[in-house]
Amino acid sequence: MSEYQQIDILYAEDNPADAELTLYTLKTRNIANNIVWVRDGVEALDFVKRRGRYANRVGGMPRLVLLDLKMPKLDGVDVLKALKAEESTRGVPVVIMTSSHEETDLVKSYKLGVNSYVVKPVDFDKFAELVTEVGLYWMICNKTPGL
Amino acid sequence: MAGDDTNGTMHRPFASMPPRLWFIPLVFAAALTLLACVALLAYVSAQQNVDDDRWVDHTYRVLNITNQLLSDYKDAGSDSRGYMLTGNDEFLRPYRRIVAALPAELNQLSDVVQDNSLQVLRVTQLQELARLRMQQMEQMISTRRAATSKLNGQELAQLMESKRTMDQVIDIMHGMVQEENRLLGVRRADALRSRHVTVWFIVAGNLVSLLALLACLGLLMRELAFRRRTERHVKALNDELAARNTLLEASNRELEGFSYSISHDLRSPLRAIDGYAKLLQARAGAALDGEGKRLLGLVAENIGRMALLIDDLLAFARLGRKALEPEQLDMSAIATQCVADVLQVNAARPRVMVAPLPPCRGDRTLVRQVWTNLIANAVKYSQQSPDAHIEIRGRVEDGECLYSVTDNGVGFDMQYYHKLFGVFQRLHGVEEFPGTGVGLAIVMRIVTKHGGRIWADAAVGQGATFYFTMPRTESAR
Repeated sequence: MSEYQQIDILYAEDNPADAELTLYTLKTRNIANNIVWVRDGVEALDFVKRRGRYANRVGGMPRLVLLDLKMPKLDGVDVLKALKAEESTRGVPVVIMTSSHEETDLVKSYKLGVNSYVVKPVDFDKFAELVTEVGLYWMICNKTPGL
Repeated sequence: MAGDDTNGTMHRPFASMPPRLWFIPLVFAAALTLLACVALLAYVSAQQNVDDDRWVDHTYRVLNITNQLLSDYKDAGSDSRGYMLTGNDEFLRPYRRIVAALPAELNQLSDVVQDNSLQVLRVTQLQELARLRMQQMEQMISTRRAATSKLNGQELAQLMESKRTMDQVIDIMHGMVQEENRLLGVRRADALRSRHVTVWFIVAGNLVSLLALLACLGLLMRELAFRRRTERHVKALNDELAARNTLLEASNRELEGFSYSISHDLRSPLRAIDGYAKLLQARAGAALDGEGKRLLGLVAENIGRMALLIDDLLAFARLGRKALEPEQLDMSAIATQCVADVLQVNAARPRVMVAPLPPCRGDRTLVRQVWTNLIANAVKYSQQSPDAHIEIRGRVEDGECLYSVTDNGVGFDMQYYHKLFGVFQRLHGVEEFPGTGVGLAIVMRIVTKHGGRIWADAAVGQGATFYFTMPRTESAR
């Protein structure tokens, strides 16, 4: 294992079914290799800030944070706010992937500086397509500064 | 009229017997008439009193003159007798004076008794006797002048003669005085009686008027109390209605919130089911036989259907929560845009004609939804027709804007018209034409929210026309 391991995606999702389907899609379509899956906002922040059970984790900042809105303990909005508040983490792209297309959630997220907001479709084929598109875009098209 | 108790079965716990309202003005009018009569009577009586007083005065005047005349006669008589006895000219001076004044006095008396024919007759007699008397006295005086100091037989006879005449005069005058006194008494009694009658009438009239007015007052007060009770009852009913409305509104909002969150929360597990089913299909599909594949296919199909249902239900619920934001809408532009949108996601290519449409007032997003749904329906149900043709028209009628979407597709049976706009109600099988049956329910809800109406006309195999109205301008709710 090299000193520096590229964390491709930090994926925060509490629903195991959604998580499984997303991870399955990302893996089978070779969009990302190193994906870290956390189940709630606290774990997500712990990972980023290297504390709690992730105090001695390897690797740098993830290249993309994929966030669900509705999670127990800290929800997506709280994580987003925390990430964008710190200088050290502001540069990390955050994509919110949620079932909610409530106007209020959209407005709130963009106010806090989210990089992208997508809605999970019910149809699996469409869902897989979305994940693929989002993943490919942020992994391959989009450029981020080295962190 | 609030006072009519026309429906005996109506429950009126708060009023014994509502008063007849027409009775009040009648009684009041009667009271007023009575008062007017009383006033008139009082006036007439006053006039009568004045007249009576005048008559009494008149009578006194007559009496006065008569008495004056009587005393003058007596004076003249005594003066002449004095001269007859003494031959002294001293007696003649006053005598001459009185005699000169007598005719005038008699005339005066004649004038004042013109009202009484009996008295007039007497005056005439008096005038005659006066003349006679004067003659006699002149005779006596001249005889006396010519004669010596002693009264002779002739002179005595003359004296007696004149005395008899004098007595006659005095009798007549007494008669006149009596008559006038009698008249005075009669007139006084009449005046008194008429006054009594008048007073009785006035008192009675006033009393009756007073009673009538009191009756009116009583009736009015009762009516007032009745109305006040009704008012209170109505207010109580209104308050109850308002309270119920508030409850209803709260319940509605709760229901809408409920249906929204349900639809929303149903999506997650649905996504999971679809995902796992498809993964299963991908992984084990090859190992399945025809029947297995068919069953799995049905799972996927039903998931798709459920997803659509949830979407439609969500859309329908969202309608109730959204507040209307009305603005002036260019319906031609919106309709044309919606046609383009619908055809973009639909492979069908019917001929679409959009006629010039009058502008109206409404919520842009919701109205777009209406057009989209109606046009999508028209396109969907005319797909199977070889020469699919859709017409969109609009015109102003009776202050509203009336729009229509006509297609020449499969139409529907008007027998089931009542189901047309129901939620999840469909008139065609899902195999023939996909859809959940909420599209028209959504359209109806939107149109109704704007204060408009929607209806349809169709025949099986001959297409359908959907009509809806929208408010023209600022009068929208």
